[in-house]
Amino acid sequence: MRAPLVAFFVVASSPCVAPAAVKPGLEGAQELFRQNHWEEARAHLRAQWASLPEKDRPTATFLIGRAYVREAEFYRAAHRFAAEVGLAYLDELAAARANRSVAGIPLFKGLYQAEVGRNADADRTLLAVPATLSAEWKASARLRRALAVHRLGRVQEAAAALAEPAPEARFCRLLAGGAAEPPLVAPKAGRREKLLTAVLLYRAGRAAEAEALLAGINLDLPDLEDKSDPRKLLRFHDPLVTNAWERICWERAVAALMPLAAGASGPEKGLAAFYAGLSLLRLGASEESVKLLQGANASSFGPELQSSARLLLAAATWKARAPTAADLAALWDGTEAQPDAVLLWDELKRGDLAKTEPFATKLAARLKGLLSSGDRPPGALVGRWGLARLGRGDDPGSLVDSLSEHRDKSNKNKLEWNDPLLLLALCAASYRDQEYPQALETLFELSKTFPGLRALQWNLQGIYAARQKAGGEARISQ
Amino acid sequence: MKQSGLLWALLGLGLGPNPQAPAPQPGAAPSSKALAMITRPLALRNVTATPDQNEANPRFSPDGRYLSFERRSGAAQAIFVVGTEAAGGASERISSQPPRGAASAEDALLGGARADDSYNAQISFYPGAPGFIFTGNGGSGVYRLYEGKLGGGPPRALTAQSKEDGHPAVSPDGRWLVYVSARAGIGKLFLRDLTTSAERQLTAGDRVDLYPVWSPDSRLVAYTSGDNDNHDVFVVDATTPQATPRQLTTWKYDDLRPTFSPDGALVAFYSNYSPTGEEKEWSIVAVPADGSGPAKGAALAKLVVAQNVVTDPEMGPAWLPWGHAVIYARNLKAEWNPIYAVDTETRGELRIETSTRMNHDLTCSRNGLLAFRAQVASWDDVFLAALTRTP
Repeated sequence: MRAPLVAFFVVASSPCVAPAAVKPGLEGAQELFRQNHWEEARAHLRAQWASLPEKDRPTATFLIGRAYVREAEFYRAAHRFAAEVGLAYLDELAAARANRSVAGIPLFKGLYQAEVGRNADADRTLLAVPATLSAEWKASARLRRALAVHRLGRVQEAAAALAEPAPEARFCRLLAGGAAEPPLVAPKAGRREKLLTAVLLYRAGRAAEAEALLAGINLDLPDLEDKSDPRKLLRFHDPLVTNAWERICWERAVAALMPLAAGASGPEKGLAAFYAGLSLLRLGASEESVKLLQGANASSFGPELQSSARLLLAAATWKARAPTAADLAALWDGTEAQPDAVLLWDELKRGDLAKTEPFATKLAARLKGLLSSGDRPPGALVGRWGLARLGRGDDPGSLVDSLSEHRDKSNKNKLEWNDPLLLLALCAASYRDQEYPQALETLFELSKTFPGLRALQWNLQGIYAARQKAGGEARISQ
Repeated sequence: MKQSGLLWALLGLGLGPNPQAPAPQPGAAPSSKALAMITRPLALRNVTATPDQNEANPRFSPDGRYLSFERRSGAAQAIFVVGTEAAGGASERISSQPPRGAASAEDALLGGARADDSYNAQISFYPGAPGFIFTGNGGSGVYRLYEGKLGGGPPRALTAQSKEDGHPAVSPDGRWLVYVSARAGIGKLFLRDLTTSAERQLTAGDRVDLYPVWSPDSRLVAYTSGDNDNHDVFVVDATTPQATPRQLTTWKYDDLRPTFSPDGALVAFYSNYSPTGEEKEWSIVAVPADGSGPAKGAALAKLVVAQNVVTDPEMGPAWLPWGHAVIYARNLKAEWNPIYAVDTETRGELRIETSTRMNHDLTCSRNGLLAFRAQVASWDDVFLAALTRTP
């Protein structure tokens, strides 16, 4: 038998993954964190907590919280990407004449429309779901339509459905911006119910109960299967699961960081306040977020976080009072030097703001050249940049090239060498560029570390199969 | 074994115990003048002696005064250089990633997120070390060649635009650099005049060319060329533009990582041809460098000088600095990969007893030093020994 040598020479000279000889204590966790093994870093610290020196514990707590923030950032991006892909997959299924009788297709198409914010479409689609659906899914259609209708401004029309006591209704109420208490009795079964209730428990400050519900939960199972055609199996994944999981990650970050943010002074305090504030902002808890960001001691921040905190605090006031052009110009001048802040600016453009500078032209130009400074940018920043550019509809082929420049060529899908956000951005750009095998390959590697990506894999594979027939050969086994 | 799992997996090599043809008894009188010069027992010195890190791939400077090795730390890898003349001297760390500014408070809490995470390897010294060229990625995914000097400032990229470059080899006369670049998608050899910086592509075609190495007279370059199915050994005259490479092997077996004998007459390489017919066993073959020898078949098989050897593609077979003898580790896992030397002319063989385990990466200096990697506890260290008291 021939011994196959590597085809590409740099692979031959590439470093091999070191054996798992993790150093004890904080140092080992720091190393795992730098290698993007966030869950392992936390587990490492928790396993050794009793023997951890007292002086290391604040730093260890910060690392645990920061690892959750990194994970939440990843799942936030994955959630958005999964929603885009999921809707495209349902569109493909809906376009096939053979699928006309599959009741799950219009239902899940509506669910994904609601998830990506196409509320008017969701309203129409979910109103017309087939009568053959089970009562459970009819209820989901009603609730998700209510959420879409609420977002369209028809609050009264949505109120009755959103006031229902089921966990899903409560969760939708939370997404609609209202208060939502967890149900009095936690569900004993039902994956979605447990997950949604865990989010509500976290919001109510009952983290331990939430974690008890999450124990052993499998994020990768399909929510509905259709076997009406014996020649094929259709699987549907509710986008609310990914949505809920992203929120769980942010909630875990808040729970880990709040004691530090509220605790004694130290280098961890200000940073914990910033990241807890950021996490709360992502959860829609603006008031709590502003309090933390205002209370954070900015002296412990680097210039990146100082600019980001300044921008986040300013943006929090824009809901009550729209900024003037002069406000925006001053803020832009004071923050645009920091790439992290520029990416935050990109998230803030909405409504009438988009017609004002820097949103009209300056931001696009700055974004385009964001990575061109001399220093090698962190992979997470590159990933966020790629996702922001994709969000703007930039050419995916060019983005694949640009992002690939920052990927380790010899270890192209290894987390130790590549930030997960960079890999996810590459995956999304490849998908947009219709390079499905590349997107799936990267996604497959990511899914080895990050649970909950199976829905995205399945849907992307389905698109591949529909648009390029060969893709059907590679159906992902579940 | 803790090292290099990926490469072995890629190469599909077997490392399990495998009985060999009868080996000379330990301590038997060597049947060759070249082997008789080897001091026994060797006085070994562990030059790394790190209790919790792996070191690998030792390489000597041409004059033997310096020894480099590569040390892994997580995903990062740096090159270290130590003097060989005095024990206990400080090592110099070499990396393609320039020192960063002061870390932020957050970086500090996270253990230096801006720590050097670059990958560096394959150092090649100028004949009058302290200058050197090596492969590095600067902490990014782009592999380039870097140039530096011992005791000098941070190494700098040899060319700003280069990418996917590696396997640098400075010619013994210090004038030329040959290296591999996959800038056009496939690894090919490039020749750079180190005095004028002029470059030209040395090899063409659609096969991947790897592991270039210079003949002692700085005229020929031997290398491996092939694809996923098969690799052969080639030699090209680097001093003649448009020279056609000579193919030293043409058979179906994989032939990897050639090295020149000290006088340049022979080229030794690893081959997965095994006289015993055992799959996964590798041999060392020594052929005339001028292409006058057989390239295939039974005639080439007769030029096997060692069987069931441990292959280290980053290093290649190690020639003793005198005679025509190769020193190698035999693939006998149950005996911790013992070290042997073989005279390629007489086929006389000598087992060199050491107290080390899982020997790998053997290399010799021109002034008669031997360096190799071996395990201490569960970590790989680099060992150094004088092969003879009167080299």
